Amino acid sequence: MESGRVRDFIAESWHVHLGPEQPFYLLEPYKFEGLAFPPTFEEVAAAHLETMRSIQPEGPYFLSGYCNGALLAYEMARQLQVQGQTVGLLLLMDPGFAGRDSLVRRVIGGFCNLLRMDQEKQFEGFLSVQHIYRYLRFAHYRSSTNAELLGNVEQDELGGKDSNASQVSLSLKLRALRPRVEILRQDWANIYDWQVANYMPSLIQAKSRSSGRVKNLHAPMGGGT
Amino acid sequence: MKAKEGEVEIYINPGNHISGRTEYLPVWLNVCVNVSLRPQATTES
Repeated sequence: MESGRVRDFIAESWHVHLGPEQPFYLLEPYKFEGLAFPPTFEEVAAAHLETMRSIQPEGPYFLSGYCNGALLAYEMARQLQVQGQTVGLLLLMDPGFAGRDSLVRRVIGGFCNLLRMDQEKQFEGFLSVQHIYRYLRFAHYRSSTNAELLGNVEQDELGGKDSNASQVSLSLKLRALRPRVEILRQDWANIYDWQVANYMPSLIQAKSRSSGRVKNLHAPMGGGT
Repeated sequence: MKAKEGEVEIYINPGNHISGRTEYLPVWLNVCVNVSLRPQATTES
């Protein structure tokens, strides 16, 4: 599950190396448009599995993913195992860790439950808190948000007007800090963060072909450096 | 680090979460491709 130029580069390189005999597919991110709040991580993995098995109904399957996509690949492998399918390879690339931001989600959930706010409001609250935290903490997030907003401001309000640069800057920062939920909802990376916060994966069991013994593999816990 | 069959195998690539996928992408991709090719060889043999 990738996006943009990196996805195209990876797809082409991998396809060249694996050769025409080995089918290779990239899964598009789950479509969240029109949903009040996202499905669970497990439900997204199940939907991807359905897509994958419509192309190749039986294993062995070779799965890989990066960051949150690695967690999804893990969950898909776990579900395939439950379905009695063989996973030939599970390649996790710098995986995000399950349960990340779970404290934030629990606090927001508890607060919203007190006020009898629904799942949609909890989801939007999570996106808002996450945006404010990232804006204050990360320079690259701050600059990209400012740049995006600056473009809109110039188009909407500042065209043809003289303005004080420092006032615009402060005003812009305040506006950028304010969460624009309708935009945050469109970023599937944000949505995956919401889901991962509530994802507690079961262990995958691996059976050794030589000894026949069954072992538990550790769930992904690291990455995000 | 190579692990025994049925266990987890770990590779440490240069860079961090971002630069590993930009600056060091060829290195990272090389590892991925090699790892992907290995189970195919096992299946075919």
